[in-house]
Amino acid sequence: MSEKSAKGFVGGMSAEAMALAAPTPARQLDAFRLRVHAILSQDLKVADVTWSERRDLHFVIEEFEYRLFFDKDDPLFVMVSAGLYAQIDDEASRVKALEAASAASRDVKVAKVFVVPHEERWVVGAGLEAVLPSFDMVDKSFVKRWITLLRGAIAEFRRCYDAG
Amino acid sequence: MSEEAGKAFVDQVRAIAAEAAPARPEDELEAFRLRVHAILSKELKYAEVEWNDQRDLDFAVEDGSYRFQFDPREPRYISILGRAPGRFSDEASRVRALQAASMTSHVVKVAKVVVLKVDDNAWIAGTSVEAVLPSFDVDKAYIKRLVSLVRHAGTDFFKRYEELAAP
Repeated sequence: MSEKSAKGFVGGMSAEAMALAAPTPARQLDAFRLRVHAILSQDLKVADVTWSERRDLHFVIEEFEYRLFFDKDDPLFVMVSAGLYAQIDDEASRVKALEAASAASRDVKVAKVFVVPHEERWVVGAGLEAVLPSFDMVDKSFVKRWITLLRGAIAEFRRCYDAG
Repeated sequence: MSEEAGKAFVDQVRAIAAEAAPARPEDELEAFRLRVHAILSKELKYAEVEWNDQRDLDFAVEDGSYRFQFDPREPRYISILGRAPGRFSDEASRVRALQAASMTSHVVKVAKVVVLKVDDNAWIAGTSVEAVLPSFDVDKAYIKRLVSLVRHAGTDFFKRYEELAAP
């Protein structure tokens, strides 16, 4: 066997071994993206589920715009964000919003509400994040629960803010 | 078939059906508790892994104390609670703590930080990481990641609090 054909043989074996290797989370991420898209658009029948340039998902439920972020550097990490939906201009409202965000984050499961500086103002946002034990654990009811928890956090923030 | 034999047959079919039925999350919770205990104490070798009265698990990692909470009403919901450094006893430091908590919650993965009132003149910062598990099939690496996330949130909070307090 010539050196060239031996190299070709080894190259072929390496390619076959790669193909047979167990799929890693990084390799499974794109399939997971497509599955989450199908869960949102077909199973949960959410309207206007669209891809962003970074292959994240945008969708709207009632008055809120949601983004579902994937992280190619940490494939089992996912985040659903309800976006920055309220702006605060004065110090008294900022303190009230910080208190309400802390109280809502304490009282709701998994989701969190935060108040952060944005340009010259303060804005309120809500998010829900998870590190998944594996991709195959995620189904329609799981995604639906995420959205319910996030909506619950926003409602709780509003309740605390209005009561504050 | 006699009445007695018929009854025995029905009982036997019931027993087989009960054995074959998939386990409910409520039934699996106790086994999950024991597995988490083993992961924390034997696999991760954390210190002082102890059950409390509610069958949650208290444990220590380096200088921090944590609580792994189970929820019998929602067996697949778990949380790990910790406490960030600091005690805030005046209005300015309370607001700084709220701001640092909010910023940390925004930036860190999964974990959140909240400011809790402990008495009329004092607040502390609590950290937590929570998950609704699709199944109980979690391993050492997963639990270690959750603990690492909650610990990091406490560190990040205190760093931000000090930055806000700096002149």
